[in-house]
Amino acid sequence: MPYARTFDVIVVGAGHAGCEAANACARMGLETLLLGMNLDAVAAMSCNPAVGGLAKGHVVREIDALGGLMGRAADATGIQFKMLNTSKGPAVRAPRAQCDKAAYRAWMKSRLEATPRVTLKQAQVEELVVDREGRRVLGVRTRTGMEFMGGAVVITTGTFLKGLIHIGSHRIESGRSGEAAAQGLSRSLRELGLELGRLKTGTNPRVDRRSLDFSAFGELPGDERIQPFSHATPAGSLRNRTLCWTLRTNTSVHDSIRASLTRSPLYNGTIQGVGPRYCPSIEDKVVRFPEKEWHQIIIEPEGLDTQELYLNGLSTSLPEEDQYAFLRRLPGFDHVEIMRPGYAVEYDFVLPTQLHPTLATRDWQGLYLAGQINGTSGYEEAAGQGLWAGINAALWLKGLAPLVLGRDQAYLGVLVDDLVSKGTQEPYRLFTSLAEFRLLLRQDNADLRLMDTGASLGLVDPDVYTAFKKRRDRLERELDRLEKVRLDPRPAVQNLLQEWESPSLESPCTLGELLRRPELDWTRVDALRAAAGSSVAPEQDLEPWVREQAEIQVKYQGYIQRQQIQVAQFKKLEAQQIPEHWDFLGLQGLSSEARQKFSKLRPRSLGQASRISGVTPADISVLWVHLEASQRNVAPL
Amino acid sequence: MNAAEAVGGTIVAVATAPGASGVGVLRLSGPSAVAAVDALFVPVGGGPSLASAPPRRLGLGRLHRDGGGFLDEVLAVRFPAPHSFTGEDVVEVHAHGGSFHLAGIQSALLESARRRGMDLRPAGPGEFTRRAFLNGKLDLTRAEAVADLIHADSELAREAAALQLAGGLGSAVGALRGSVVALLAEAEAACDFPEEEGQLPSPESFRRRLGGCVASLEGLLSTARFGRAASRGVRVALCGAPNSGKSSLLNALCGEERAIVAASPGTTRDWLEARVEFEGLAVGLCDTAGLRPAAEADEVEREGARRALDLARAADAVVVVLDRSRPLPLGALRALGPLPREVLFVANKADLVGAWDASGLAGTLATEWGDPWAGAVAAGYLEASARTGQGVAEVRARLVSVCLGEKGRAWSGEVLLTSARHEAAAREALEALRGALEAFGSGAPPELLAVDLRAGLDALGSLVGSTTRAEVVEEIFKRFCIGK
Repeated sequence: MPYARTFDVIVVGAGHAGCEAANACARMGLETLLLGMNLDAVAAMSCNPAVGGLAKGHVVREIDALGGLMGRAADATGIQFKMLNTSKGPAVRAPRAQCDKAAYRAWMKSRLEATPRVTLKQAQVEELVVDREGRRVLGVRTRTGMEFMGGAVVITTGTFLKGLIHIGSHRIESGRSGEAAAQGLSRSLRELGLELGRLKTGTNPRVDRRSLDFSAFGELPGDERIQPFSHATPAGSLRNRTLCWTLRTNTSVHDSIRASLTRSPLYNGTIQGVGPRYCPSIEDKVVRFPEKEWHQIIIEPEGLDTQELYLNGLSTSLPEEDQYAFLRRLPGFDHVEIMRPGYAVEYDFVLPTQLHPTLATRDWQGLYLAGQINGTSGYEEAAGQGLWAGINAALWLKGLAPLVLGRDQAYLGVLVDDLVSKGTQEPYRLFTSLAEFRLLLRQDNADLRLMDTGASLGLVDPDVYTAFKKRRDRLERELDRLEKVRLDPRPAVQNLLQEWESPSLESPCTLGELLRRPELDWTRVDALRAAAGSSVAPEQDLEPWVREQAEIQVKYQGYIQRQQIQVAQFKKLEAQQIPEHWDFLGLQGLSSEARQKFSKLRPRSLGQASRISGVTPADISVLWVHLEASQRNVAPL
Repeated sequence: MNAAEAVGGTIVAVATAPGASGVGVLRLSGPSAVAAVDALFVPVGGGPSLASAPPRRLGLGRLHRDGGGFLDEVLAVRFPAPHSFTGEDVVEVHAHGGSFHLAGIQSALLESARRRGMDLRPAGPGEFTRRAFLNGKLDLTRAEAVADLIHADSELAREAAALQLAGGLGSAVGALRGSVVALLAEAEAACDFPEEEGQLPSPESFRRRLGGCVASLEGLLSTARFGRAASRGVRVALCGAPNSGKSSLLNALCGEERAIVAASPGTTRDWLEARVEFEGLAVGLCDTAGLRPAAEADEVEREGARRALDLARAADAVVVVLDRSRPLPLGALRALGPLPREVLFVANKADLVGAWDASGLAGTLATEWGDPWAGAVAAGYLEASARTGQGVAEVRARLVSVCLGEKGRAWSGEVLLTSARHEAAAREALEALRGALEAFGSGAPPELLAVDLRAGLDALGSLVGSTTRAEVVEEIFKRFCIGK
């Protein structure tokens, strides 16, 4: 019996993806139902108590620029902030924060409760309600018999589809420690004809702070100057409220782990799912790199009001007593008390190659999938997809054109394109090296890249957008000043240059040319300007972002321009659109592998086709010839 | 690729080179290939029609025009799809040679097909190979090598193309790509796994290997000049004063009468080219108008001289022909001026009494063209007589040696860059890798190195056809000629 009220959008799952999807739909004006299995676990962090990191921090900045929630939540509940990779160039720097898990959940839940048009309910969805003839999704049916009907359904069920937790030989049907798995929904998706695979991931033991000897650890403080995730958070408003600690494993720990391997479900064949290579369990590390004498461990607090500590680098699924055995061999862990053991979890995922670039399923109208269900790992990747799917579900219901960001526009574009074009064999996570236009997709320019889009969708707060436009105008004026103001080679200038071991000027030189010298930064260039007696000073109270952004754009101009040329080349193939119902099977000259993959994955452009694994340049050339011919209305042969 | 050229149907073209020859081959490809030939083909001795004859076996028959006129006695063979060059039904008709004769057979076939409503038409440039490619019979680099092989008009060109068809360039570049991929992986790892940086190879090793890649690319690029010479041949300009014997020397070098030779100065007003093969190298010997002070020449001669000078500056090598029996032609030498190319000085008419010698020439050139040219005379001075044949073989040998260059003289079958496209891609890769090396030296962070390394990798990929670049396909297929 359908529930009396119908919704525009139903979001199934209230994790990182579901929260973003629901927020986006509601803010775009749609009545949105958000269903979570446990309303005490809204936006729960199942694994480490941190947001951001390399490429992931980029994604959080992009989510924020588009008007999503994750950046604000991380700023509001962050207890230690760090910019990673500061010794390298700006493109690979990334923000990361330790967050208070309980505070994060609470912040997100109350935020959604306060958002008009979001209806939050606790329910376990067992089945999708569909119109089989119209190939359209109509709503969902819950375990307790309720039917909720809506125009679009976004499924964001994380690791809960047939989730199976392993701790040693113990197996528990569960999507996350202490929570039940979703059995019925997995079956329902299969019945709709979707192809599912199985993946594995793992997490680390949580231990009691009071049982450790902290004199054995190194201290890891946060940054002195904190850059917030959110463009709405005022600079200087955030504080570090905790330390993290570092220690190393040793050969004695490794020996203990090796002795336990026969009881590891990873090594005795119990676990069939494929785990992530980039985030190996400690068992994997010990087995695959036997020559390494130590591995780095970082101790991270789960929150301010709890004694639980997370042991980053020690993901394990060994039996609980074996976890005690090796942990006690760590320095400072002699009397360790485990509060929650580490575990591995296997779960179903939907092969994401069955999705449109909007994250809608190709075969069922109105059905969107986002997050770990698509084979990804990580809160940030999940949240980004949730936002993407939510935006596209809303646009579709309103009859508007979809939003598909390109690989040259956002990490989110790289993420979604990789998923729908290539699929994944292991839990997928983003790396900066997956972005071929990395120098353009920096965390520092996420707003320049995406905030106009977010604002046009109605997702960005008007005051945030106004402040951004002001900032952008100031940046343009500052860039203009740097390229136009010329300094004469006066003695005062030459003296300063000599002091900084920078070659002296032989002729007048613009501020921009000086700024391109590696040894000079914005502050030094301004000192040179003052020494030269130029009155064209920077604007008063120029915020640090404008200075830094100008410096990055000027210093890396040569490389940035080269990447822009590469983008132009890349777009040539992207611009070659493939008609929606193109008959790939009938194309002569393709290798049989390419023919099969094309007809299965149905690429929408030559560029997308070229990224499908196993497809050769010769296949692309053939496809291209056929496309050209069809566009000119002649037979290719 | 121009899709208008890629219209379907059956195509026909003469597959052998133009000119008189014993045998000429017509090739047809497409669904009507067999029927189009069968319409005019009468098997000798009551044998089966082409359609019912065993495949891949030559059958003797007579070709008649529609309506009965005898065309030729021919051998015909069919290669049913997909086991043919193009992957379609292919028929070859081996007729008697001669461009005119073969064109006649082709138009008879076209006319008969038109009357019978078959879709036979003449092939567009490169169309046979394009069909082979589209039917998965050839990959891009092999297609390119086939084009080179077809165009090969000398032994060296054939060798260079065959080498490429065998994958020589591919494996040489493949190894280089492997090294660059490894370097890129390290730069990427430094970006994405900063905590694992201790595991990466030392900066010194990175620099050394990157330098090694730059050096091997430089090595590959140094073959480009010889590669071009080997695959496309060279052009040599014979220049000198009127009546110094340029045309006679050209004829003597060719071993047959090629240019018009006459005793009155100024016979060769434009330049003439004789294509010959010397020691496997295709050489275009160009006879040019005589050079003399402009005041003494009429309008037509001045135009001829201007063209001669243009050619001398564009040619791969220049032979300055000097009449040894008369005083050095200062006017002609001044007009020619110092040349940007390899130069041989041939003192012609060596059978007559000499009016000057090598040291006299060296002194004059030092004055007229500059000091270094005295040395050039020492290295490139030869005496010959076109009339008696004395010294002509030496001139020919030196000419080949000069045109091959150091690389060519030492060549023993190593991989060559033979096409302008290859050279451009290799140069692009070299520039990118040099950029990376320079950036590394100035302490650039890994994500900037990665930009250069990726650009280099991309260029190397396009060199061997493992990277998709839209323009590559077009470029390659522009080069095919009809029927191959």
